[in-house]
Amino acid sequence: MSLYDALQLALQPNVIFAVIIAEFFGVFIGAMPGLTATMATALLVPFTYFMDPLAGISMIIAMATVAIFSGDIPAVLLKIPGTPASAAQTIDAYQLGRRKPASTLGVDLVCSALGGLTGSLILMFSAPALAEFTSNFSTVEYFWLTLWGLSMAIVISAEEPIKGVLGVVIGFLIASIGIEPVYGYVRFTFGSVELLNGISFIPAMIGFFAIPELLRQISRPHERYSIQLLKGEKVFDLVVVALKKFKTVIVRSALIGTFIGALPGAGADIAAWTSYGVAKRVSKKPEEYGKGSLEGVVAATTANNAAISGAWIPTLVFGIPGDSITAIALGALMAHGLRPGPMLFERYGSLITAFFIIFIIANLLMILIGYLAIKLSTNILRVPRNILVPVIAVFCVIGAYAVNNSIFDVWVMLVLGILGYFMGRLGIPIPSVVLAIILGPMVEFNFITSLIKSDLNPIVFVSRPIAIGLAILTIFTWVLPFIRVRRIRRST
Amino acid sequence: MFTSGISKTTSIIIAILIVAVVVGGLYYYSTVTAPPKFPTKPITFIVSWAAGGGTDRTARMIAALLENMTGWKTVVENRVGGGGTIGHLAMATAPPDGHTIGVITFELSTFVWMGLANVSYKDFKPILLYNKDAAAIIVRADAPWKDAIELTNYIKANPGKLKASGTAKGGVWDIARIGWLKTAGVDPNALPWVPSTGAAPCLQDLIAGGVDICTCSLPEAGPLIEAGKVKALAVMDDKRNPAFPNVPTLKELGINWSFGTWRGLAVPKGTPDDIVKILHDALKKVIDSPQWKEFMDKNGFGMAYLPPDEFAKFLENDFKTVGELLKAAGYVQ
Amino acid sequence: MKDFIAGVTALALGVFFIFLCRDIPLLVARGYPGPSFFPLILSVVSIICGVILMIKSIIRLRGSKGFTSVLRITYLIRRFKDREVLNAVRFIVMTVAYIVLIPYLGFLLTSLIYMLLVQVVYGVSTFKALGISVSMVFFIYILFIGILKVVVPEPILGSIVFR
Repeated sequence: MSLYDALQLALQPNVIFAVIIAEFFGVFIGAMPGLTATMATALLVPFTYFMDPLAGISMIIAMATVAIFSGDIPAVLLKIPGTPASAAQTIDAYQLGRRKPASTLGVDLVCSALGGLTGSLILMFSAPALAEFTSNFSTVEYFWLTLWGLSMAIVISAEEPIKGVLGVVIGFLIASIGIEPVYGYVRFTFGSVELLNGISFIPAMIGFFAIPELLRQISRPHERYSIQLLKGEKVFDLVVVALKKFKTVIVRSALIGTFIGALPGAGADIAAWTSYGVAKRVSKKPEEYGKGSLEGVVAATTANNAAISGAWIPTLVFGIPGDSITAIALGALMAHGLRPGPMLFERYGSLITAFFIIFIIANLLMILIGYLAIKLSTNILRVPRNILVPVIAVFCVIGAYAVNNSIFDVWVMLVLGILGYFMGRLGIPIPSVVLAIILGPMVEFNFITSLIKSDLNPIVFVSRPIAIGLAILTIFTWVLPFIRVRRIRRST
Repeated sequence: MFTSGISKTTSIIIAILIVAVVVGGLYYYSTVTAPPKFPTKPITFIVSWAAGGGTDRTARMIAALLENMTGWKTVVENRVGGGGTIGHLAMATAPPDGHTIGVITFELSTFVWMGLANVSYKDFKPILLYNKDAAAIIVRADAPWKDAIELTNYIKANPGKLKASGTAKGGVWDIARIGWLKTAGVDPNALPWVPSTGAAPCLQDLIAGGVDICTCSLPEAGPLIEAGKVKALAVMDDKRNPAFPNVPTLKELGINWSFGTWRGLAVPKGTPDDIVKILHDALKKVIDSPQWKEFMDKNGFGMAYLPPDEFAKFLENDFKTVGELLKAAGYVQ
Repeated sequence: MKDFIAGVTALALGVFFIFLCRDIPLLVARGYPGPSFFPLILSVVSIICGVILMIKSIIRLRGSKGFTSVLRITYLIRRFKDREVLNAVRFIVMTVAYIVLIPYLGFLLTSLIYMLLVQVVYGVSTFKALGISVSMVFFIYILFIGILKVVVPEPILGSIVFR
C-alpha cells in the first residue's frame, strides 16, 4: 500500500467529478432546514450501488462534509439551523450575521474546513488506537458523558441559570413523550398513535428556531436588512484575525469534535454543543455568548465538521457506526463488499488511504464551493421580508414533513414554534430546550440500563476508570463557576 | 399595506379562480383518461423503519429492480415510528388496490402481544418472503465458555449473574433468548435482558464489558468477530451460515431451537387475488435476479423465499410462537 | 413580571406532569427506576424552579416600585404595537389554514395559494406575488420531488397532476 497508489486512485477524474457534484448537492441539503446530511446520505446510497466503490463512498464523504458547513448558512442569515449540527451556534451566528453576514460565514467556512482536516488527519493516523479507546464506553460512561452534556445546557444559558434549568426540564419532558425506550412503556401520548414515537427532533428544532423568527419578522413586514452593509463586505475579511485570535479554541474544538464523533451514538450535533459549552466555560468573555460571540461560533463549527470525520473511526475499525451518517454509509460500504474491521485496512490498504485523501480533498474543495455558496446565499438578505417569510415558511413545512412523511410533524413544528415564541419572551433559553431534547432520553436510558445491569448497585457508576474521570469532569463543570467567583472576590 | 384594497382583493379572487379552473380541468382530464390496467400509478413501498437501515436498503433495492424490470414507477416511503407500528398501520389501512405494498417485518408478530397496536398478519395478504436472518449467541472473545452448551449450563447454575442485550424489550433478539433458554430447560429469567436501541449499541456495550451476551445476527457482529473482539458460540438456524462456516447451529448442539428476524412483502387485506398474482410474479423475478443475489450476499442478508400461501402459514405460526414466548417471559399482561 | 409568569408556568407544568404520572409505575420489577422515575424528578425540579422564580420576582417588585408594577400585567402584550400583533396573528391563522388544507388540495397547490396569499396580504403586488409563488412551486417540484424524491402529500381525491 503505497501513498502513490492511493493518490492515483483518489485523483481519478470520475472520483473528483463525483466529489464536486456531491459538494454542490451538500450545499443545498445543508442549507435547507429539515433536509439533513443523514437523509441525503440515505438518498445517495442507492446510487452508490451502481458506482465504483471509491467514487460512491467519496460522494457520501464530500456531501456530508459540505452539508454540515452549509447548515450554518441559514443560521447566520435567517436564524434557522440547516441541520441539527448547527443548532448550538445558531443564536450567536445570527447575531453576528446581523452586522457582518458574509465575513461571519467566511470565518465559519475556514474553521469548518480546519476542523474537518484535523478530524481527517486523526482518522488517518490513529483510527485503530482511538477506536480501541472508545470501545471501552459502556452505558455507564455514556451516562456521565450525556449528563455532562446536559449540564452544558445550563452553562450555555446566558444570565439566569435557573431559566436554563427550566429549559432543560421542558426539553426533557417533551422528549419523554411516546414509547419509553427501556421498558417499552407508552407514556404521555393521550392515546394518540402519532405520539407513540414521541416528538420528532427535526420538526421540533425547526419550529423552535424558525417560527419565532418568522413571527418576529412578519410583525414588521416592511423593515429591511441594510443592504449598504452587504456591499462593502468581503467573505474572507475576518479570517486572518479570527485564526490568530482563536487558535487555541480551534485546536481544542477540533480535538473535542473528533473525539465525540468517534464515540458511537454521539454525532456532530452533540460535538458542537459540547465544544460550545466548553468554550464558554473557559472563555475570557463568557458574557458575549448568546449575543453574538465569534469565539462560540468558531468552537461549535470547528467541532461539528471534525465530528463528521471522527465518526468514521469506529465505523471502519469495528463496523460500529459513529453517527447516523456513517450508520447509513456502512450499508454502502458493505454493498461493495468492503466489510469494516481491521482486515479492511490490510486487504484494501491503498483504497482506504485513498478514502483518507478524499477526506482532505473534500475539505479543501469545500472552501471554494463554500465561498460560492456564501456569495450567492447572502443575496437572500436583499429579499424583502414580506416575500421571504412565506417562502421560508413553505420550506420549513416541507422540511418538517419530509423527515417522516407525516403531516403530524408539521403540526408539531408549528405548535412548538409558537410555544417557543412565548418561551423566548419569558427568557427561557431555546438552545437549552433543544439540547435537552437530544440528551434527555440518552441520560434516562443509560442511567436505567446501567442499574439493571448492576442489579441496582449504584457503585457501578464509579466502578470503572473512564467513568470516574467523566464523573469528576461533570462535577467540576458544576462547581467551576463557584470557584471562579471566590477567586475573583479574593483578588479584589 | 392596504392602500388599494378593493382592486387588490378582486385580483386575488381572480387569480385563485384561474388556478382553481386549471386544476379542476386537469383533475377531470386525469380521471377520464386513466387507463384501466394495473398499475395505473406509481407503486409505493411503505417501510416502517428509517431510511438507511437494513429494511430500507432491501426495500429500495427491490423498488429499483422492479422499476428496471417492469418499467413500473416505484416510490419508497418511510413511515417511521412507534417501534414499527406507524408504518405497519399505514400499510394495513392503505387502499387495497395493489399500489401500496408494505414491507412487513418480524415486529408485525409482536404488536398485538406487546399491546402496542392492533395490527397483525390478519390485516394483510402476503405476497412473498424475501429475507431471514437467524439470531446468534455472541460473547466477548475472552469469555470462558467453549460452546453454547457450557454457556447454557453456566446460566442455569448461576441465574441472574450474566446479562444479555440486543434490542428493545420484546424485540426479536430478546424473543430469541427466551426461546433458546426455554427449549434448553432453563428459566428465561436466569439471563436478564438489558434493553438496547439496536444491535450496534449492544455490541459496543458487549466489548466495553457492560453486558455478557448479545443475541444479534451474525452479519451484524461480523466485523467484530474478524477484529477478534467477540466470538459467536452458536447460530439459531436450521443450517450453518455459509459466511460463518465455523459457527455451529443450536440444533447440532442438541437444543432444538431456531429463530430469527424476517422481511417480506404484503398488501392490505381485500386486495384482489389477480393483482396479488401480478405483483408476486413480477417480484419473484426481482428476487431471482443476479443483481439481487449479489446485493444480498455483499450485505450479509440471508436470502429466503416463500410463495403467498406458505408465507401466510409462516406468518400465522410466527405469530403464535412469539405470543407463547412473550407470555412465558411475563411480557403479556 | 416576566419572571412571575415564567414561575407560574413552571409550577403548572410540574403539577400537570405529576398528575399525568399518577398511573405510570415509578419502580419496576426488582425496584429498577420505572418509566415515571425521570418525569417525576423533572416535575419536582420544575416546581422548585417555578417557586424560586416567583419569590424572586415578588422580592424584586417589593424592592423597586412596589405593587403598582403588578399592574404591568399587560407587559407581554403591550410590548407590541397593535399593528404588529395583528400582523403576527394573521400569519399564524394563514399558516394553520395552509397546513389544514395540505391533505385536501395536495402540497404543491396549497403552497402556491399560501405563498400568494401571504405576500399579497403583507403588501406585495399581486402579479409580482403570483410570479414568485409560481416559480417557487416550480423550484420545489424540481428539487424535492424530481431530484430528492421526497414524497409530498397528495390530494385526497388523488391525481397524477398535482401531488
